[in-house]
Amino acid sequence: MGLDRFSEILGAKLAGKSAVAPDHRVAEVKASDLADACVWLKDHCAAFLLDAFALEDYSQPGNYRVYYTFDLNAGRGGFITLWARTDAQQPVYPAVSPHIHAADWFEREIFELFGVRPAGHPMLGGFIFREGGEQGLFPLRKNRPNENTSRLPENRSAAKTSAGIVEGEGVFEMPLGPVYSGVAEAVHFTLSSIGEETLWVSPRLFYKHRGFEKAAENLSPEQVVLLAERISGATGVAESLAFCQAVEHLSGLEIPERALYLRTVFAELERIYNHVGSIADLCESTSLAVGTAQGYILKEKLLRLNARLTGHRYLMGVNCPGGVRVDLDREKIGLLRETLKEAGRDFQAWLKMLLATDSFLDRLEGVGVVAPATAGDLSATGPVGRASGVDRDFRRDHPYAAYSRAQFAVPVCTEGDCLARMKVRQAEVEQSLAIIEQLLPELPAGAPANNARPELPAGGSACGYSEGPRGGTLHWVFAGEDGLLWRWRVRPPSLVNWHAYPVGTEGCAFQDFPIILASFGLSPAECDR
Amino acid sequence: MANWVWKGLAAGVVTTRYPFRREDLPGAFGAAPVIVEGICSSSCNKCVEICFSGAVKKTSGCPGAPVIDYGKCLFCLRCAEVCPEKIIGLGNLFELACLRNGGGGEVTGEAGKARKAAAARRLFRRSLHIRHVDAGSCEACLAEIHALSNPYYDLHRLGFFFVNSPRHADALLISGPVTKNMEEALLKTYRAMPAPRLVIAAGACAAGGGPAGTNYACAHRLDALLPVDLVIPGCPPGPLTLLHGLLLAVGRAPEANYR
Repeated sequence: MGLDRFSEILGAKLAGKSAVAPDHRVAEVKASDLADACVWLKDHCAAFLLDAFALEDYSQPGNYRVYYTFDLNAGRGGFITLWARTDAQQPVYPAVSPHIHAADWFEREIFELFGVRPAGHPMLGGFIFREGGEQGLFPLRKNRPNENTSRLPENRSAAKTSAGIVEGEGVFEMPLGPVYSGVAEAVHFTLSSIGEETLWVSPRLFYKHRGFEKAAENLSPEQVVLLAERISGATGVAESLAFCQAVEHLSGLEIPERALYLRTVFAELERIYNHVGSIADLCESTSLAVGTAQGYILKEKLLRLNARLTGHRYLMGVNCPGGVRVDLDREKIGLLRETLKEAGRDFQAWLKMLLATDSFLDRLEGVGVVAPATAGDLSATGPVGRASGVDRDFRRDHPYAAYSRAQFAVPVCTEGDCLARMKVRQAEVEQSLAIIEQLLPELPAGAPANNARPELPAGGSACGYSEGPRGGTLHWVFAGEDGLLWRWRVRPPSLVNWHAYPVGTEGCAFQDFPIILASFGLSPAECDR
Repeated sequence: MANWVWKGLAAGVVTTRYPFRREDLPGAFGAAPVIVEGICSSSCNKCVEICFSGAVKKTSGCPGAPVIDYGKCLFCLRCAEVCPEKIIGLGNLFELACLRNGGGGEVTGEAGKARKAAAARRLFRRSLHIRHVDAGSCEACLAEIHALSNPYYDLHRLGFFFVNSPRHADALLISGPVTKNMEEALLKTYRAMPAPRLVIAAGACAAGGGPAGTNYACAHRLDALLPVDLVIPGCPPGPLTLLHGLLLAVGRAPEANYR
């Protein structure tokens, strides 16, 4: 319904329609109309900004395009992508972020990776690259080499790592990271506090930026799968699944029925061990030692199950374009059901005890609140979004793999605090166990993969998506010559959830900072790529 | 609170007996490609061609089987999949770490370095304090390093401890390919450590450059920045592989014999 009205009002701006994924329409608009069109979509179709990125035009290198992808209101439409060409001489276009706040970080990426300037964005530069570092490098432009010849850093005196975000009498600014605490991912925080109260926490990401999107250029899809699995080691199945679905759509590769079921099973196994790990991390942040130990025992059991089923503890190497590389025989299915039955029991007992431990709940209830309206504005995804009333899940709204054949609920809370995020994860584990239990008896016979090579048509594009443990992930694949990749765009869930994270820490007590961080379950590796 | 005590007691001891006894519970480590006995055709080059990270090599000197550099290996097992003669098979190999004798740093000459490194290893034999630096890992290495502290592996029983300050650390455990943005933080952490200090590279990224290799975002490989003493291969290295590596670093385990 929404789409028809869009066609009517923006009809003149719709230069053409093409499907880049099932249920995904693409329309070109003029760069000057882009912001208006995005706002119109948001206001009239309840569209939810998923991603924005730039691309060097395949047919006219040196010219840049910007893409804005939206998810229409749940269950009432698919995806829609608006794109615009920017002028070759001066790649500038009016920014969308002043109107749609969720575009903020995407536009900062667009500027630093491509040198395409979203005019009107209040804070460009210093996002991915450090001040004075690679500013002006624009590494994703095709005429830039994929190498870095810069000298080794010298023993410089400590540079100021962040601008004073909160200023005033008695405000103390505490820098934390990128090397901090025992074993933690590299990320930098600036905590501005007055006494016990934290006014604002500003995360500084991209310490772990590894240049995966550029590294994938001129590689074959089979090779890029290896990179996709390693964007974030803990969500390799979700990322590689989204990538493989994009490749399969673009090349028209048929996927055997059995592969669809197996992909669903592996994706749910990944969700289960990740959520168990997240809840264990939450116990650790509240210093609940026995609870933490019990959680990690359960996680280790699940990781060992993964290794016995697929040969890899983190399920890497499962997906390939055309299907899955690992088949489950009768013996393995028996092992899987038996272990999950036991793990499900252990999980219930563990959660029952956690939810009866007052000292634990006191640290979570009403702490780190992200209000539903804010979560919606920031496009929060996954358990973080669903704990704040963002009722969106790609598995239900745009079913892929074998999700349309399973009955499951999408748990949603509206409290938006640490406890709600834990409860959403708990309910999701229960649903995941049920999905696997439903699909295993119906596993169709046949080959687990189509061994034909995916042929990518030059200049073609496709979008794949999946719902990982941390939320929805989006992969765009643009093909170049010889079936190799021209551009690979990844929008991992952590990129949007990190954007929402500071909201949850606003006004929190100093000691609640690690608890809120653990409850978000964020990954810098996934965000930084 | 009391019920947590009972819960902990009821769970019993789950800790592995490794290294005193072999860990034989399946699933503690993943599959690794291994060279099985046999002679492969000299014209077939499939394993070398399919290897994404350049870990599989066939040299003219050895007409028999290919050689796998585990430091670079991503353990994707594609080489074993394509091998028509099944010369490369799947093995239960997890003790993969090997020494690099980078110790001392300021000492030149191979013999001097080896002597200095051996001396440092003797010094830390009973207890080793480790500072971990994440220099751009995909999080899987980090999860496995974190798993060392869980009740299954419990590295404290072997005298290994993670410390917060580099000033307290004897060894620097690094995962990730060393991104441009982490270079300075890594070097500062290293400089803050008292000598003698060990540098341990964990995982395919730190050990061999990783899947993305050097590019605009990762300018220098770890061995170009710091003298690496020990390499722990794996993508990611499992907890037992890491434990073996740490024991090897302090001279309490023999070097892997997989060649």
